[in-house]
Amino acid sequence: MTVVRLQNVSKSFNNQAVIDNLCLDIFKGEFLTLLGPSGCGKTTVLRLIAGLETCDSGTLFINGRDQTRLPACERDVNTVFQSYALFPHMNVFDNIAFGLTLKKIPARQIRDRVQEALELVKLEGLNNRPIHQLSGGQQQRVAIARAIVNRPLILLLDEPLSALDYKLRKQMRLDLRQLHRKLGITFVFVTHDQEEALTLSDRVVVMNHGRIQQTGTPKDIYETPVNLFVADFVGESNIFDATVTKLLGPDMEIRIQGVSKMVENRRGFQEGQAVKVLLRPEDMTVERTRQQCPEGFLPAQVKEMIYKGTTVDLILRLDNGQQVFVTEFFNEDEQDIFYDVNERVCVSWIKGWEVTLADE
Amino acid sequence: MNERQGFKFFAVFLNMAWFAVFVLVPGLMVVVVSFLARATGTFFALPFTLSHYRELMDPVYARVLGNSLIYSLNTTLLCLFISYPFAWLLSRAPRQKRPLLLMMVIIPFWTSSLIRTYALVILMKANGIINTVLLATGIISEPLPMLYTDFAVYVGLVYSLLPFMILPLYAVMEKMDTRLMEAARDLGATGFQVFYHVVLPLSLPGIMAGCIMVFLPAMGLFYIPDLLGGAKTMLVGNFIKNQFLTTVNWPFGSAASVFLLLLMVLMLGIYFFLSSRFNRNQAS
Repeated sequence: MTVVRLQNVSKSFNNQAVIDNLCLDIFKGEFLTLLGPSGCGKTTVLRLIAGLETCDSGTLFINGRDQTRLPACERDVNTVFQSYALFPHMNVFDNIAFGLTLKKIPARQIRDRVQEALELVKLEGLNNRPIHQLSGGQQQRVAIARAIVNRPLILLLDEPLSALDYKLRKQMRLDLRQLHRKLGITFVFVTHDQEEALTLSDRVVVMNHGRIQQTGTPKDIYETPVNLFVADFVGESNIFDATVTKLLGPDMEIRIQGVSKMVENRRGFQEGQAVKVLLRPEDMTVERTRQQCPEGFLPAQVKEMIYKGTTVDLILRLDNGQQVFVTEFFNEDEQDIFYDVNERVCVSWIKGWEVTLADE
Repeated sequence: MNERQGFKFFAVFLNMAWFAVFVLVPGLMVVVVSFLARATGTFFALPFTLSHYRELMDPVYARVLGNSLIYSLNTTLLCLFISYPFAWLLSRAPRQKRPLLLMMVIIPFWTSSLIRTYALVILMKANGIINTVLLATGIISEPLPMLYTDFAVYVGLVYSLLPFMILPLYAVMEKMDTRLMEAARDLGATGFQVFYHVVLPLSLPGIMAGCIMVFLPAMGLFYIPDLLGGAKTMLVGNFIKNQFLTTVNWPFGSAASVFLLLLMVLMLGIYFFLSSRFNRNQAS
């Protein structure tokens, strides 16, 4: 069931389009992440839903009703701001109770609900603490409590974890997921951190230049990016220029730097077409060279070997100078994944693990 | 002592000396004189006496003081109500335009406030600019009585003291985080509720500072009631001036000055007490 629908929404600031004819459906109860580089319009989408900005054109439906022009204070939507925006002149309790007090809810009920919200964010007993005596992580939790205490239809989170240190961020990620499961509220989360987007979301919307590039599950986004931007922005990718040389049923033969390689033809490419072949570092395989590389392998030289505990990262250089990133995992079959710098190796991948896109 | 410390010492010394010679010594002289007897020719003479302070307790003077307090209070409130929206718009104006707008608030300071008060006289006289224009355009048939009324006194006081209210208000409002107002709106606050629950409490330090900076000088601005009110309304400032220049009763004028000074010190004390408590409650 659709809880928010943005229909052909556009928004510009100072004659510069920030959101360009955007259409997006957000489903009830899902954890949706808007992912993109800074300035891609993701925060503006959030502010449009919150009512803190108004659409220049297009329609915004919340719960099936046209609420394009409804002021922020009347929308059943609450936001956790990037800077938290906690009221400095109020203590923790008053901050959280703010929304309920405005709704003229009886004091006893407010006390119970604030208490419940504090328990949900694990801040019991801090009711009377002034805001400036809280740590960054605690302020973050108060900001979340202040929003969820109103039991909104949709909770908007604007890069809420960006100000926290790495360990706290990982903890908060888990806590947010738990909170989402417990509350059953629709979460719309904005981030530029692809790891955050992949670990948290049911669905990810990748944005760039005010447009949606791809919408899908984290797995879709990571494994089958629909264009070079998504492939490049989400995770690391090796991108090879290639030409289709032969069509063979569901497969095709391509030529990369003089080497022929069989790949799957999932997009109906034609013979002679220029394509880009994308591969994740962990999908690449490396073989030690014996004079000449086997068929379908590209000759390369080890430039750098980085030991990372659970993996070994290799930076290789192909003979045409292109750099290739390879991640090798420790496993029982292949004990020897350490290479010498400048060692000659051969690099390839298993057919079907690549993503092939038309050369734009 | 190196050069840097030498300069520091020199700068501090110069300031201290200046204040000592032109503020502290005259101030102490006023205090001393207030305890001396009145004398013709020499202005004051021994012996020491408390009679002037006793005289000040007379209900006649209490009325002068009460009058002054009412004028100052009204002036402060008028300044606050005029300045608040103005300072708000100023603080929300585009960043590039703010210095210019702020400049326009400050420019009148470049002219002596006495001269500006005379300018007001020219504007509000029976045959002054305002009446001439209104008569010429036929809006009124006879001159409006403006000069030598309470209205004129308030115009003068508010006009002279307005910047002292605008500047502290602007200082707190400019620092106010717009995201707090957005957060309040997001949580369901209407425009008025955002103002009442967020903007007003956060601008309280500016309101307090502005009120002090308007209220205290308003008590002593003797020439404005003199020139614009026609000396009909006796304020503490006028009263003191008269004791020195008209009645030539220096000891009594000094006693009144000391009394006014103590009153102001008391109010400043209350202000600092309140603002330090406020700051402790919401240090960021």
